Amino acid sequence: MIAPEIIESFSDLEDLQENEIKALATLAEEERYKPGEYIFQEDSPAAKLYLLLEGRIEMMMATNAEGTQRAMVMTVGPGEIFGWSSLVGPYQLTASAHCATPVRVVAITASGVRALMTMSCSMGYRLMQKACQTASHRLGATRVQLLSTIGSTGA
Amino acid sequence: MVTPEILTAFPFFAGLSETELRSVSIIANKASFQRGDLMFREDDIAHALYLLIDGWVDIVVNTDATGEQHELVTTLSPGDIFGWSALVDPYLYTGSAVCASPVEAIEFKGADLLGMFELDPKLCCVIMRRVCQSIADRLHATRLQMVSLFVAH
Repeated sequence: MIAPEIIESFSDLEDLQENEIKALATLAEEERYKPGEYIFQEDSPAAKLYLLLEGRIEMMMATNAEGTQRAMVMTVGPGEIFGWSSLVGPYQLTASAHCATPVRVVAITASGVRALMTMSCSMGYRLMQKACQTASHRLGATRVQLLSTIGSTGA
Repeated sequence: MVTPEILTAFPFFAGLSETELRSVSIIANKASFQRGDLMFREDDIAHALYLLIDGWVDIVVNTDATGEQHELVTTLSPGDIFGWSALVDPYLYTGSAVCASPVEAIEFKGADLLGMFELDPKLCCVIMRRVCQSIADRLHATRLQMVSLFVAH
């Protein structure tokens, strides 16, 4: 569990009600990572929603079948939220989160967030809207990646 | 307006209550297009969300800064939802929609949807969740497409 003020400090979550913020805080833990570490890998089950407190994360997608080559599709900075796939089916991560610097994050158990969302419409709407935005960006980045893959393989 | 029965034929609207379906059908409008018509352009203000009823729609994106070069990224088929930027900040279309055949679609103006949501937050939640799911499904399908290209080479 973490202090509710930390959750509230994220602009995407500041509109939530006090009880919603408290509920999220009870589902959250702080985690620390070293530069070079991966918080999660593409294709694994998405179990947590992450709020970045300190550091920089590079979201990477595989560009070959073995997953040995990767392209960066976006970066995440302090104050931003990532791991949105934990809120939408099939709950599978669409990119790997690489720590470019030492990182401090708040990790929130996603099953708890999803349960809260079904009980609170305003929270559900707000989070879904943000998730839509991120999914839409990621879709754009994946399409660009797909086009360049088609270009390079001559498919 | 469009009858609720037409909407329930599509998975996107399955499971909604009678009242919810009625609310949605009141703001739904039928729209017809000819082959080659541009339904909307990338970067335009996203004024409407669409449900494709009949026909095929190509989604095309600009691949250079001048907007001269375009690439087809996907072709939509009946049942697909598109133009979701009408509900998602910054409310600008992320691709152009060109009719690959004669097209029948149901149009939901963004302003009407947001107005409906003010009156019924629960419906708002349901629709937003389904829109999110549609985008996520599209994302996973695109990734699978990409992975299949890796494997083939």
